[in-house]
Amino acid sequence: MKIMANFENLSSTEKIRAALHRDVRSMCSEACHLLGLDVTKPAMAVISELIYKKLIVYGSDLEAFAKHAKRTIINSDDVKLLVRRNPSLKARLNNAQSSIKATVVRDKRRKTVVPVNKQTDTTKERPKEDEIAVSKSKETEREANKINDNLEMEVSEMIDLTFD
Amino acid sequence: MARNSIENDDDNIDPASVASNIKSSLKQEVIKELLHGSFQDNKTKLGNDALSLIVEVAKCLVTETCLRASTQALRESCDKVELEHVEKCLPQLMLDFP
Repeated sequence: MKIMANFENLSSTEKIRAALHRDVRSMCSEACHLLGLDVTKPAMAVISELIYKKLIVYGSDLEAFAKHAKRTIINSDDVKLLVRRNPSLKARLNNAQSSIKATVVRDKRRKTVVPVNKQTDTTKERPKEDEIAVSKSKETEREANKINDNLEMEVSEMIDLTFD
Repeated sequence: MARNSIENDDDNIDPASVASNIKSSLKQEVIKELLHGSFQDNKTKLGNDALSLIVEVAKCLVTETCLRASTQALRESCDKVELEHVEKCLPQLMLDFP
Protein backbone atom coordinates (compact mmCIF):
# COMPACT_ATOMS: atom_id res chain seq x y z
CA MET A 1 0.00 0.00 0.00
CA LYS A 2 1.29 3.44 -0.86
CA ILE A 3 1.04 6.33 1.50
CA MET A 4 0.74 9.50 -0.49
CA ALA A 5 1.32 11.88 2.35
CA ASN A 6 1.08 15.62 2.47
CA PHE A 7 4.43 17.22 3.26
CA GLU A 8 2.98 19.09 6.25
CA ASN A 9 1.76 15.89 7.85
CA LEU A 10 5.14 14.16 7.82
CA SER A 11 7.29 13.76 10.89
CA SER A 12 10.54 15.72 10.92
CA THR A 13 12.70 12.75 9.96
CA GLU A 14 10.39 11.96 7.08
CA LYS A 15 10.54 15.59 6.00
CA ILE A 16 14.33 15.48 6.00
CA ARG A 17 14.26 12.25 4.06
CA ALA A 18 11.84 13.62 1.50
CA ALA A 19 13.88 16.80 1.06
CA LEU A 20 17.08 14.80 0.67
CA HIS A 21 15.35 12.50 -1.78
CA ARG A 22 14.31 15.46 -3.87
CA ASP A 23 17.83 16.88 -4.04
CA VAL A 24 19.41 13.52 -4.78
CA ARG A 25 16.87 12.85 -7.48
CA SER A 26 17.65 16.07 -9.29
CA MET A 27 21.41 15.42 -9.01
CA CYS A 28 21.09 11.84 -10.23
CA SER A 29 18.96 12.64 -13.23
CA GLU A 30 21.29 15.49 -14.15
CA ALA A 31 24.41 13.34 -13.86
CA CYS A 32 22.95 10.50 -15.88
CA HIS A 33 21.47 12.79 -18.52
CA LEU A 34 24.93 14.25 -19.06
CA LEU A 35 26.00 10.74 -20.07
CA GLY A 36 22.89 10.33 -22.20
CA LEU A 37 21.25 7.80 -19.92
CA ASP A 38 17.99 7.56 -18.04
CA VAL A 39 17.67 6.69 -14.36
CA THR A 40 14.86 4.60 -12.99
CA LYS A 41 13.02 5.65 -9.84
CA PRO A 42 14.08 2.70 -7.66
CA ALA A 43 17.72 3.39 -8.49
CA MET A 44 17.37 6.98 -7.31
CA ALA A 45 15.49 5.89 -4.20
CA VAL A 46 18.31 3.50 -3.33
CA ILE A 47 20.95 6.17 -3.87
CA SER A 48 19.11 8.66 -1.67
CA GLU A 49 18.61 6.05 1.03
CA LEU A 50 22.31 5.28 0.81
CA ILE A 51 23.17 8.96 1.27
CA TYR A 52 20.78 9.19 4.20
CA LYS A 53 22.30 6.23 6.02
CA LYS A 54 25.84 7.33 5.21
CA LEU A 55 25.25 10.83 6.51
CA ILE A 56 23.87 9.49 9.78
CA VAL A 57 27.01 7.36 10.21
CA TYR A 58 29.16 10.39 9.34
CA GLY A 59 27.27 12.39 11.93
CA SER A 60 28.01 9.99 14.76
CA ASP A 61 31.63 9.61 13.61
CA LEU A 62 32.15 13.35 13.50
CA GLU A 63 30.61 13.74 16.93
CA ALA A 64 33.02 11.12 18.27
CA PHE A 65 36.00 12.83 16.61
CA ALA A 66 35.06 16.19 18.08
CA LYS A 67 34.51 14.63 21.48
CA HIS A 68 37.92 12.96 21.31
CA ALA A 69 39.49 16.33 20.62
CA LYS A 70 37.59 17.67 23.65
CA ARG A 71 35.51 20.01 21.56
CA THR A 72 31.76 20.37 21.24
CA ILE A 73 31.90 22.08 17.85
CA ILE A 74 32.68 19.97 14.83
CA ASN A 75 35.15 21.72 12.56
CA SER A 76 36.77 21.06 9.20
CA ASP A 77 39.62 19.01 10.70
CA ASP A 78 37.11 16.41 11.85
CA VAL A 79 35.73 16.12 8.35
CA LYS A 80 39.26 15.73 6.97
CA LEU A 81 39.91 13.01 9.51
CA LEU A 82 36.76 11.29 8.29
CA VAL A 83 37.99 11.15 4.69
CA ARG A 84 41.64 10.40 5.51
CA ARG A 85 41.61 7.04 3.72
CA ASN A 86 40.52 8.40 0.37
CA PRO A 87 43.36 10.63 -0.92
CA SER A 88 41.51 12.03 -3.93
CA LEU A 89 38.50 12.97 -1.84
CA LYS A 90 40.86 14.57 0.66
CA ALA A 91 42.50 16.63 -2.08
CA ARG A 92 39.09 17.70 -3.32
CA LEU A 93 38.05 18.79 0.14
CA ASN A 94 41.27 20.75 0.58
CA ASN A 95 40.55 22.58 -2.67
CA ALA A 96 37.00 23.28 -1.59
CA GLN A 97 38.16 24.55 1.77
CA SER A 98 40.77 26.86 0.30
CA SER A 99 38.17 28.33 -2.04
CA ILE A 100 35.79 28.84 0.90
CA LYS A 101 38.59 30.46 2.89
CA ALA A 102 39.47 32.74 -0.03
CA THR A 103 35.92 34.05 -0.22
CA VAL A 104 35.78 34.55 3.55
CA VAL A 105 39.10 36.42 3.54
CA ARG A 106 37.92 38.61 0.67
CA ASP A 107 34.75 39.49 2.58
CA LYS A 108 36.72 40.25 5.72
CA ARG A 109 39.12 42.47 3.81
CA ARG A 110 36.28 44.40 2.28
CA LYS A 111 34.82 45.00 5.72
CA THR A 112 38.12 46.14 7.24
CA VAL A 113 39.19 48.32 4.32
CA VAL A 114 35.97 50.27 4.04
CA PRO A 115 36.11 52.16 7.37
CA VAL A 116 39.80 53.09 6.99
CA ASN A 117 39.74 54.54 3.48
CA LYS A 118 36.25 55.89 2.99
CA GLN A 119 34.85 57.07 6.24
CA THR A 120 32.13 59.06 4.55
CA ASP A 121 30.97 55.97 2.72
CA THR A 122 30.56 53.85 5.80
CA THR A 123 27.45 55.68 6.91
CA LYS A 124 26.00 55.15 3.50
CA GLU A 125 27.05 51.58 3.22
CA ARG A 126 26.00 50.26 6.57
CA PRO A 127 22.27 50.67 6.13
CA LYS A 128 22.66 49.13 2.71
CA GLU A 129 24.25 46.10 4.24
CA ASP A 130 21.42 45.88 6.71
CA GLU A 131 18.93 46.19 3.92
CA ILE A 132 20.72 43.47 2.03
CA ALA A 133 20.66 41.27 5.07
CA VAL A 134 16.95 41.89 5.57
CA SER A 135 16.14 41.29 1.94
CA LYS A 136 18.32 38.20 2.00
CA SER A 137 16.48 36.81 4.98
CA LYS A 138 13.21 37.58 3.24
CA GLU A 139 14.49 35.89 0.14
CA THR A 140 15.53 32.81 2.03
CA GLU A 141 12.12 32.77 3.69
CA ARG A 142 10.42 33.02 0.37
CA GLU A 143 12.69 30.37 -1.04
CA ALA A 144 11.89 28.10 1.86
CA ASN A 145 8.19 28.63 1.25
CA LYS A 146 8.70 27.87 -2.40
CA ILE A 147 10.66 24.77 -1.53
CA ASN A 148 7.90 23.69 0.78
CA ASP A 149 5.34 24.21 -1.94
CA ASN A 150 7.45 22.34 -4.45
CA LEU A 151 8.04 19.55 -2.03
CA GLU A 152 4.40 19.27 -1.22
CA MET A 153 3.57 18.96 -4.85
CA GLU A 154 6.28 16.50 -5.63
CA VAL A 155 5.70 14.46 -2.54
CA SER A 156 2.06 14.05 -3.32
CA GLU A 157 3.07 13.16 -6.85
CA MET A 158 5.69 10.60 -6.45
CA ILE A 159 7.34 9.72 -3.20
CA ASP A 160 6.36 6.39 -1.84
CA LEU A 161 7.18 6.61 1.82
CA THR A 162 6.91 2.94 2.48
CA PHE A 163 10.56 2.30 1.69
CA ASP A 164 12.58 0.84 4.50
CA MET B 1 16.19 8.05 -24.68
CA ALA B 2 18.07 10.38 -26.95
CA ARG B 3 21.79 10.22 -26.40
CA ASN B 4 23.80 13.32 -25.82
CA SER B 5 25.79 13.97 -28.96
CA ILE B 6 28.94 15.05 -27.10
CA GLU B 7 29.12 12.00 -24.86
CA ASN B 8 28.06 9.60 -27.56
CA ASP B 9 31.20 7.55 -27.45
CA ASP B 10 30.59 4.99 -24.74
CA ASP B 11 34.23 4.50 -23.82
CA ASN B 12 35.02 8.16 -23.36
CA ILE B 13 33.51 9.29 -20.09
CA ASP B 14 35.28 12.11 -18.40
CA PRO B 15 34.13 11.94 -14.77
CA ALA B 16 35.60 15.32 -13.86
CA SER B 17 33.74 17.15 -16.60
CA VAL B 18 30.46 15.48 -15.66
CA ALA B 19 30.98 16.18 -11.97
CA SER B 20 31.71 19.84 -12.63
CA ASN B 21 28.71 20.19 -14.93
CA ILE B 22 26.13 19.22 -12.33
CA LYS B 23 24.28 22.37 -11.39
CA SER B 24 21.88 21.10 -8.77
CA SER B 25 23.23 20.40 -5.31
CA LEU B 26 22.18 19.31 -1.87
CA LYS B 27 20.61 21.83 0.48
CA GLN B 28 22.86 22.71 3.40
CA GLU B 29 19.88 23.13 5.75
CA VAL B 30 18.69 19.61 5.06
CA ILE B 31 22.10 18.09 5.74
CA LYS B 32 22.42 20.19 8.89
CA GLU B 33 19.10 18.97 10.25
CA LEU B 34 19.98 15.41 9.39
CA LEU B 35 23.33 15.57 11.16
CA HIS B 36 21.81 17.25 14.20
CA GLY B 37 19.36 14.40 14.37
CA SER B 38 22.19 11.89 14.42
CA PHE B 39 24.10 13.47 17.31
CA GLN B 40 23.74 11.70 20.62
CA ASP B 41 24.91 14.66 22.66
CA ASN B 42 22.77 17.78 22.43
CA LYS B 43 25.76 19.99 23.10
CA THR B 44 27.47 19.02 19.86
CA LYS B 45 27.43 21.78 17.27
CA LEU B 46 28.41 21.93 13.65
CA GLY B 47 30.78 24.56 12.32
CA ASN B 48 29.92 26.32 9.08
CA ASP B 49 33.08 25.27 7.24
CA ALA B 50 32.59 21.68 8.40
CA LEU B 51 29.02 21.72 7.10
CA SER B 52 30.06 22.88 3.65
CA LEU B 53 32.76 20.19 3.54
CA ILE B 54 30.24 17.51 4.50
CA VAL B 55 27.91 18.75 1.79
CA GLU B 56 30.84 18.45 -0.61
CA VAL B 57 31.45 14.85 0.50
CA ALA B 58 27.77 14.00 0.10
CA LYS B 59 27.74 15.55 -3.37
CA CYS B 60 30.80 13.50 -4.29
CA LEU B 61 29.07 10.38 -3.05
CA VAL B 62 25.96 11.03 -5.14
CA THR B 63 27.87 11.85 -8.33
CA GLU B 64 30.25 8.97 -7.87
CA THR B 65 27.39 6.52 -7.39
CA CYS B 66 25.62 7.85 -10.45
CA LEU B 67 28.73 7.73 -12.60
CA ARG B 68 29.66 4.22 -11.56
CA ALA B 69 26.11 2.99 -12.07
CA SER B 70 26.06 4.71 -15.47
CA THR B 71 29.33 3.10 -16.47
CA GLN B 72 27.91 -0.26 -15.45
CA ALA B 73 24.77 0.40 -17.49
CA LEU B 74 26.86 1.35 -20.53
CA ARG B 75 28.96 -1.76 -20.09
CA GLU B 76 25.79 -3.82 -20.27
CA SER B 77 24.62 -1.64 -23.16
CA CYS B 78 21.43 -0.52 -21.46
CA ASP B 79 20.13 2.99 -21.92
CA LYS B 80 18.53 3.08 -18.49
CA VAL B 81 20.29 3.00 -15.14
CA GLU B 82 18.46 0.31 -13.23
CA LEU B 83 18.61 -0.82 -9.65
CA GLU B 84 20.89 -3.74 -10.52
CA HIS B 85 23.53 -1.40 -11.94
CA VAL B 86 23.60 0.54 -8.69
CA GLU B 87 23.75 -2.69 -6.74
CA LYS B 88 26.70 -3.95 -8.76
CA CYS B 89 28.85 -0.92 -8.04
CA LEU B 90 27.79 -0.63 -4.42
CA PRO B 91 30.45 -2.83 -2.71
CA GLN B 92 33.42 -1.01 -4.22
CA LEU B 93 31.74 2.31 -3.52
CA MET B 94 31.31 1.42 0.13
CA LEU B 95 34.98 0.53 0.31
CA ASP B 96 36.08 3.75 -1.36
CA PHE B 97 33.99 6.07 0.76
CA PRO B 98 34.64 6.32 4.47
